[in-house]
Amino acid sequence: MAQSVLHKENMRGHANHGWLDAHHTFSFANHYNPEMMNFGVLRVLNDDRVAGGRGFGTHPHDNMEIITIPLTGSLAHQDSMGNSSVIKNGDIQVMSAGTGVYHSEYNADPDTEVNLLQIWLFPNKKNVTPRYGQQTLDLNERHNRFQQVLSPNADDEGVWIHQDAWFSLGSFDAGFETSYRIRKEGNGAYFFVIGGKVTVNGQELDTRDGYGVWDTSEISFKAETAGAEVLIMDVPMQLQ
Amino acid sequence: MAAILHRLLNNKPGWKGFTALTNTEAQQLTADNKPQVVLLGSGISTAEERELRTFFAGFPNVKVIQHYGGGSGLLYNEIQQVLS
Repeated sequence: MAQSVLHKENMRGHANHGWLDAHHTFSFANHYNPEMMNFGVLRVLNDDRVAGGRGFGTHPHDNMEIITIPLTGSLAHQDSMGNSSVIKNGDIQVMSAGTGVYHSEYNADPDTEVNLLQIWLFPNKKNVTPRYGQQTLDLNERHNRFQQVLSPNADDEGVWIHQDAWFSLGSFDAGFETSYRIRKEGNGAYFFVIGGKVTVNGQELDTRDGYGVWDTSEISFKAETAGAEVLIMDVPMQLQ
Repeated sequence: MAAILHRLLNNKPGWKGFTALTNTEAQQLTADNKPQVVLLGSGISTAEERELRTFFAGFPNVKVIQHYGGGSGLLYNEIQQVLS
């Protein structure tokens, strides 16, 4: 029988530093809630709003798969592997931190806020060689369907990471119904509502709610409002 | 990275932290300071980790955990979780 966990938008941790207004679905930085630590290997789901021209100075990471999805605005990235880029809505960026990497992330626009999702997954292999990837996605490919944007396979659709995880993004018309099939036995699916209202396996969800479902193979989905947007993170429930 | 973790640990009121870059250093610091928690970061080979875990087994009150992420994001959470 399917099991589930509901994280309402207002259950998230919140830290407003002025230049950074951050909401943490799972415990992060100084926000600690032992009931909301992770969903399988999904450890961090941060919804960050960064003021124009501001950002995260050079800082280190190791042994983590870090995925960044800009929702609005643009984000400038630089890292110790020599990568320098600007990502915006429609792009997805991945960094396998592995043995260690330094990077910075700044709002590329001096005047307009950037809103991004930053997601951290535990890797399935420790101390890999650090790696960076990014891709521009076709937004038309997610209308009334789940567009795969990340997988464990370099030759599959979207970016790839060191984990048996698949991410999908979708944007739906009101009343559109479909189902999501979990990609691998032992995985669960975490639905994060980027905007609008949806119903997942009978559970009504509002903007920025999160809902994890596991011990099942197929999950029903219905968009309740026009333009409802959802991110699905299909991840192993057990840490390797 | 070790310098940053050292600063973060010692910025937290009531906490005192040390960082080691070699197994010998880690063993010496453990023997001298009897820490409550040891975090293993990146860059340690499987053989080095095995050696460290064998050494820490001689200190039953020391909790040994893996540190993920590299910076401040999960550091405080990892320690709070193991201490609670």
